[in-house]
Amino acid sequence: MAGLSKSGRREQAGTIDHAVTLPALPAKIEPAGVTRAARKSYLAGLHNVTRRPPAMRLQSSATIDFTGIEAQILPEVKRIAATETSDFAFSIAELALRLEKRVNAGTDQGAKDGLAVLSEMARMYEHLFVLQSGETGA
Amino acid sequence: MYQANVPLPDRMPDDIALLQRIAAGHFVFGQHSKALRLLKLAFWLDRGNQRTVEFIAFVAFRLGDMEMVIEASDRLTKLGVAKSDELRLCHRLALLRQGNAKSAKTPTPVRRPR
Repeated sequence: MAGLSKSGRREQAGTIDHAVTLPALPAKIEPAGVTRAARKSYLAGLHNVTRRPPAMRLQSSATIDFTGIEAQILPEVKRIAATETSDFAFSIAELALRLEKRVNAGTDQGAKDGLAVLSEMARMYEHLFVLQSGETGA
Repeated sequence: MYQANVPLPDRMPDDIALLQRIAAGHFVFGQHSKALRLLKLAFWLDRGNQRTVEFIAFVAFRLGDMEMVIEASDRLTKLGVAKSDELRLCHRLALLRQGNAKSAKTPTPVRRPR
């Protein structure tokens, strides 16, 4: 019995206290003097300011809500759908013909590209009507 | 008409509206570049049309042409038009992306020990 430690002797004596008292933990571990709200706003600021590498680009469609602009676009499309196809085709062909002279006289490449798209659409409609008339005539 | 040299009636507002409508149709069906070309034609017809410039900024943003977004946004500022929240965000993101592209192109300078 002489080799027993002090605690061993205490156990034997039945006087040990197993309940260890630790200092109480704080509910949220924050650096001293920094409130949670301040930390959050700081992180949000970093999120906005930091230049991201190209691989981590912000997803535009995920971050911007385009419903305002889309609300302007959809009525336009509905108006196209409500127009008679032959009227629509005629207005496109007429516009392309009217603008052709003015656009070709200028040097604006953007306008020329736009006119090319219009003329292409006019040709497409022409082609469709030729096909349609061929079917009905047969 | 050309031979008779008859002055054609000015139907520019209708023409621009039609071009915007066709561009909207192309845009909805995902043909963004065609829509942008048509809008450029509308812009050529009238450089002061607010709706055309706004639409150009929007389509160019969706297409990823950030320079054009910034250009269109500056144009709107010149016109003295209050930009919508979406367009302001587009402009900011375009500036951010342009910055990203520049920083990706330019290599980081190597610091030499003195």
